Amino acid sequence: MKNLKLKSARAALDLSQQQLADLVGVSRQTINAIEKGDYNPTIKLCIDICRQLNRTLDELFWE
Amino acid sequence: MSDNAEFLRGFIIGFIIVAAVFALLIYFVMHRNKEACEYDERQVLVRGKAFKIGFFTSIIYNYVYGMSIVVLGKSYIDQTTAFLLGILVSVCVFAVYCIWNDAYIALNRSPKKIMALLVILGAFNLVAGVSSIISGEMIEDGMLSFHASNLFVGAISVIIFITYALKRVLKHEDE
Repeated sequence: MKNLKLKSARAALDLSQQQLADLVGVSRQTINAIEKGDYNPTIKLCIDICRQLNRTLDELFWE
Repeated sequence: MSDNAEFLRGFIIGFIIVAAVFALLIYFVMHRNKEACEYDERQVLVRGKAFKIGFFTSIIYNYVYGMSIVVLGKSYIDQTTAFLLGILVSVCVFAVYCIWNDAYIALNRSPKKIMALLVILGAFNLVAGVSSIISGEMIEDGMLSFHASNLFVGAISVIIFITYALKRVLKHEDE
């Protein structure tokens, strides 16, 4: 299932996939895979993403 | 007989020395470069799966090779070359799977450098392979000789490069 919440949170901060990937230390393709719902990130990566996007885990990763 | 024993001894000693030098080289490279090959969590998972697929490819290859000797009654490929081909096929499967899932090149590595190296490696091996075809060394006594290994290495470099290029062309899923 696509993670549109993550995509919109990233877009709200005007960040590209590559920029977010650099901030959390993963590849652009990994961010793309998370947004497309092709990959379930570990809790550590979820927290890192939330910190960078100033959101909570619930806001980005809870259905 | 004595010449053979001398040759074998020399070969074993040479092999041990080369292996020791190689192991030392790898040890120093690994310990001096702390940032060697950094993969993210998804890439680590993909590479694990790729290793598994490569491993099973190797098993299937060995089974098919063994069965082909049983069925055909003889091997049409030199043993060393067959051994090398098995490794190359497995490595190729691993590399193609990793490239297709964006897990071949580490985060801290430049794809351009790696692909340039691959092109050079492929070109040298293809040239050596073609020259061995022209000189007629490729097939000896009705068997594919060790000289064919250059062609195999070249072909696999080309396959890996084409996969990488294809992946680059098809990567318009993006943002």
